[in-house]
Formats: sequence, structure tokens, C-alpha cells
Amino acid sequence: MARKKTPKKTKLIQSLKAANRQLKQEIADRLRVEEALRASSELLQTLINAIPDLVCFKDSQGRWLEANQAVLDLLQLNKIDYRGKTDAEIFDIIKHVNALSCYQKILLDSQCKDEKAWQLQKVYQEEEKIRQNDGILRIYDVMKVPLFTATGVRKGLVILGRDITAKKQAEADYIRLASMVESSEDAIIGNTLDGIIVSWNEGAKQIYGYSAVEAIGSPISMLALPERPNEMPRILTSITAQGGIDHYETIHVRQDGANIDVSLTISPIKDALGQITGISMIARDISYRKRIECTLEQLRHQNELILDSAGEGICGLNRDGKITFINPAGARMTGYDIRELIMSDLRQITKGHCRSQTPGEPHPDSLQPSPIFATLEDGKVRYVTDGVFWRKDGTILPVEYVSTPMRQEGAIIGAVITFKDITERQAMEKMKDEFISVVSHELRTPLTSIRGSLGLLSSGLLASSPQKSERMLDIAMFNCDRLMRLVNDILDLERMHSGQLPMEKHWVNVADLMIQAADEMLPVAEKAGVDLCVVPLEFKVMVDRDRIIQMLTNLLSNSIRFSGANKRIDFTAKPQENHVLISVRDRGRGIPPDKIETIFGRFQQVDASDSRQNGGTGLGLAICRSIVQQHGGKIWAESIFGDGSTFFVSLPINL
Amino acid sequence: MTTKRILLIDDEDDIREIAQLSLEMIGGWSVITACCGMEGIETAESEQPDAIMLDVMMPDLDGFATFQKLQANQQTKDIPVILLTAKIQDRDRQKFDSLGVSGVIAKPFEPLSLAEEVAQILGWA
Repeated sequence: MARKKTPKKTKLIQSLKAANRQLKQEIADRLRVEEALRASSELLQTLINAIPDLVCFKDSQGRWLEANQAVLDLLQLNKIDYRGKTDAEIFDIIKHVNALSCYQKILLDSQCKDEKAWQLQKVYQEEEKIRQNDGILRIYDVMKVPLFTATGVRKGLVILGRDITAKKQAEADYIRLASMVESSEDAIIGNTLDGIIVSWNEGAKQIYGYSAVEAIGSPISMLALPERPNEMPRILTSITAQGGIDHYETIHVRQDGANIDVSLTISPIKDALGQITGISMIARDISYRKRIECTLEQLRHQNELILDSAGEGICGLNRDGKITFINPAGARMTGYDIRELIMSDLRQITKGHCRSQTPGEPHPDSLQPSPIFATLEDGKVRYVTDGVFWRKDGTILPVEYVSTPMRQEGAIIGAVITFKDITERQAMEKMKDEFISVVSHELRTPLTSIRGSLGLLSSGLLASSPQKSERMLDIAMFNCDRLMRLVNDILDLERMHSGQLPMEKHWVNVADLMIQAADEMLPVAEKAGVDLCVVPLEFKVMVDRDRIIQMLTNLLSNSIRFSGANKRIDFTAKPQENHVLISVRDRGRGIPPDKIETIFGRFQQVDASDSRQNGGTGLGLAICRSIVQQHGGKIWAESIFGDGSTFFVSLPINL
Repeated sequence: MTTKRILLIDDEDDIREIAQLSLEMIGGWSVITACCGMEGIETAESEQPDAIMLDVMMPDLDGFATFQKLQANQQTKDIPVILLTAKIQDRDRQKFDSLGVSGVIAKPFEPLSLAEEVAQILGWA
């Protein structure tokens, strides 16, 4: 039998169906919501994992709810089931793993720091330093945001952390750089491309005098010399076009108007895209260096002048004996050009060849090693008084030199040779030797007669011969007088040459000089049977009276000596344009042409024996010449051999 | 025994006179004199003395030149020559040594021992 559905059942069934439908709908809706929530959660998870910052959620009890990948990577919790666990519980899990020891402190401290945020009931922010396992210290800016319910109950904690290590490093770098800029003694100036100053360090203030307040905003061109208005604009243009400028030396002007030498290093400032945004100028005060350079240059120049002006040769050698320096005097003495000698071997001038030798063979005198090379070896100073160098033309250059080692930090690096040409000195020494030899001979000759005659007398050998005895006495007396005259003449001559017999010049009448000289020689003339004729000249001259009379009596004495009996001597004078000409004319035998010049030399006589018989010393005319020359005058002789001679003396009227 | 003969060549009259007296009176020799180099050479040729005493510093022909001429002369080259000179510096001595003379007597000489010096140089008794 079919059961009949009652309206109540039908209604129930319909009601159940509707409820089922609604349930299904709600389930579907819930599923959709859950799906949406799940998608939203996934999206949120993706989002927070993508954030490089640290993100962590905790509940009110401090249990970890969620942490992003950055946190997991940092604390190496990727393999740890951290959800629902507190910091301490997570610490317990990882504490036995040594590799994670650096994070232990983070977890241990976290709870305390979380509590601070709870206590403050607001965002708690601080920096946390975390040293990673690789030793790198990272710095995080950590924010802890406590969440509360409407009734003030703790709900959860959001922890955000940002890695500010790079920023901190940049800040530290910036501070260090700024400190360097400020502490630099150089001026470090930042400009815009238009040349307006935007930064000005302490060094710039010290150098230029402007404070930062005064300088910033001013044009950089204020530092340039007024007479160089285009210098800075030109530099700025060059920088933008071609890049930096290094060590550009110029003159700037300080605030007080003083000029200052500076060296500039200018570079473009570029942004991240490489665009030039400004100009950096570093200016170094080089005034001191410039002064030093100037002083050094002056010294160098002065030294060069000294070396160039030195009369002695100065030669520098390197350790190998090569000439590295020679001054003009040295080059001139050796006959070389300076360039020919630089870097040539010293042997070029110490070991040469004489023309008289076989070409290619060294001169025998040069075969001895030069002491200069010994100096280079042992570092001893050597002084050589009789050295020999060779000139370029092969002739010998007698030298006196000193070789001194050059040392640097104790090691011999070369030598300096200072040398002088002693040709003249050698000639003088030879002349002196010859003079001494001659004087010695001249003094010994009358001494021989004196010694001999007195020796014979004192021996008694001539006792029986009174005539011979008297003759010996005459010889002794005569030669004593001769010796005395000789000694006096030698001393006079030497004193005149050495300036020890100064002339005392006064205005004197020539006539007085002539008369006095003639009066002195008159007895001698009379004894010789010579007629002495004097024609005095009334004329004033500035002379040493005694010396001129000595000179005139010498001339008269010679003339009388060589005149012979019954001959005449004319003693005259006449004025000339600016001098007076005195002459002594004799009619003796005259002077041979080959002796007309040499008779004025020392111990030079036409006929020595004849002269000595008459008491001549051989120095009379040399003395006359010396006296006349000291008066600025001239003396000479003219003669016709066999017909007499005339001696002329020209004396300036006024000296 | 024949008396030794010495030719004395010196331009100084007084020295010739003194040396002659000394050599004659003390040495017992015969002395001929000449007042210059040329005269001395001529006299040496003609007189053939046993020795020549020769001064160095003479005008015209000095002692060195005179000696060279005597040496070059066959007639006089073997006559011993003694230089009698006031030139007594070291370099003069060096020059004398190289000449080949028999000896050198310096001036001033001691007149009483001149003959003895000459005898010693020449090896005369």
C-alpha cells in the first residue's frame, strides 16, 4: 500500500531540501571564502617573502606565528618547524648546533626586547647588530609593533627589520670622508658647472682667508688674479669637455689681496648616470715650495756662475773615471769644448800622446797611472804639485791639482778634481832659479877675488914682494866695493819689484835733477878724461827725486865708463806733448844691435869683463828701467856700433 | 922632471892673477892665462898644457862651449879640464857631471889649497 505524503511531511521535505540547498550554498560559499582566504594568505605569504626586510608575526604569548623567508634565511630556520613556538623553544631546538651559535643571542634577547614593546604599548625601534657565521657584521633597524584588542589585551606582535648595514657603512664612509676633507690642509672646493662655490673646507679657509659662509655662493673666479679674468672660466670649460686637470700651477689671490702660488687638481663630479654635475677643485699652497725652488734656482745659478767664473779648472768624475762635469776654465786650459769632454774618459787628458812620439803610442810620462784613479779607488785626497795633463793639440799642460773623492752614504761615487795651469809658475820658478844661480855666481865672483887675495896675503907668501902684496890689497878693496855695490843694487831692484820701495813723487824741476846728477858724476868724468856737457831744462815733473837722480847717475856712469878719454857726453832734455824726454849721448864704442834690448836685463852687459873692470855690477840699466817704469815712463837706447850710444828716458809730466 | 904647465881660462882679471900666483907659488907649476874661451882654445892648441882650468860663466863662448870645442879638437881633446866656477847649484852640478870634465872646483876657492885640489884631481904628485 503507498504511503500518502501528508502536507506536513511535504512541507518538512521541502523545508529539508531548502535547508540542504542553503547548506550546500553556505558550504560552497565557505569553500569560496576559504579559497579566497587561502589565496589571500598565499598572496600575503608571497608578498612578505619577497620583501627583503625581516617580517615576523608573534602572538600575544610570544609564539611565532609566521616569519618571512628573510628571517628564516638570516636565522637559518628553514628546516625548523617554528610555528607556534616561542623564542626559547626555538632556541632549545637549535642550541646544540654550533653553527647556529651566533643566533642564539638574538633569540635569547628577543623576548626581553619584545617585552619592552609591550610595556611601551607603542612601536619600539632600535638597531640590532648581528654577526653572521661568516663573520660579517650586519646592522638591522628593528621595529616591534605591539597589537592590542579593543579592550587593551595583547593580541600580537609584528616585528619588522631592515638591513641598514650598507647605509651605516655609507654613513661611516661619509663621516670619514667629510673628516678627511675638513682636516686636509689643501683647499677642497666644490663648484657648480657655472663656477659657483658650493662647498669650502677648513683648508680653503686657511689658504684663501675666506670663511665657508663668505665663500659659498660666491664665484670661484674671485680667487683668480684680476689680470687673468678668463683663467677660471677656461678651466671650467676644459673640465666639462676633456676631463680633469692635474697639478696646474697658477697664482691665486687671498682675501687680503696677497698673491699665493697654488697647484690645482680639478676634476668633474659625476652622478650615478655619469653626468657631470659639478666641479671639484683641490688647491695646494705651493708658495713655500716655489720660494724654495726660487732659492734653489738662485743658488744653482750662483753656483753655476761661480763654477763658470772660477779661474781654476774644476772637473767632476763618476766612479768609472768618466768626466761628468767640467767648468769653462778647465775646458779652456785643456783646449777642448766642454761637450767633447762630458762622459769621456779622464785618460783623454791624463794619458795622452805627444806629437813627437810614434802615433798611437803613449807619452812615456803618461805611463804612470794617474793618482786621480787611486782616489777613486781608496777615497783618499791627493794633492799633486807637478802633474801633467794633455791638451787636445797634444801639448803638455803642467798642472797642480787636488783630487777629492765624492761620497754618498759612505760609498765613493766619484771624484772632484780642481786644477790650475802652472806653466807660468814653472816659468817663474825657472826664472827665479836662474836668477838665484846668476846672483849666486855674481856674488861669488868678487868674493873669490877677496878671499883669494886676502888668503895669499895672510899666508905670508907675498911678504917678500911688497908690490904683489899691495896689488892683493887693491884687489881686495876693489872687489869689496864691487860686492857692496852689487848687494845694494840687488836689494834695490828686488825692493822695487816687490813694491817695498815706494815712490814718493813730488813736483820737481827737471833742471835740478840734471844738475844734481851731473854734479855727482863730475869727479868720475874728470878722472876718466870725459867732457860732461849738461843743458838743464826748466820744466816741472811729478817724480821721486832721489830715484830719478839714481837713474840719471847710472846712465851717466855707464856713458862715462864706455866713452873713453877725451870724449864728450851730452846730457840734455826737452819737453814733449805730455812728457819730458831726457837723453844721454856718448861717443863710446856703441852697442851691438843684438844687445840693444838685452842690456836692460839683469846682469846683461855688452862686455862683462870691461864693465867689471870699471866697477859695473850688471844691474845698473835694469835698475834704471825699473825706476822709469814705476814712473810710467819708457827707457831705450839707440846706438851706432863704433860711434856711441844715446840713452833716452821719457817721463810723463803728471801721473 | 919637467914643470907641469896649466892653462887658466877666466874672464876675471883679478881671479886669473890670484889663481896664477897660488898655482905657481904653491903648486910650483907654470901657469899661462887666457881671458876668454876663444883665446883659451888657441892657446891650448899652441901651448899644449898639461891641464886646463876653465871658468864657466864667460861672455861670448862660455865654459861649456869652450870645453866642447876643446873635446872636438884632436890637438886638445886629451888635455884634462878642471872647471873653476861659481855656479854651484844642484842642477849646475848635474850638468857638470854629464860633461866629462876631470873635476870641478868651486869659487871662492882657498888660494893656499888650490894647488892641492888640482893635484888631487889630476893625480899629480
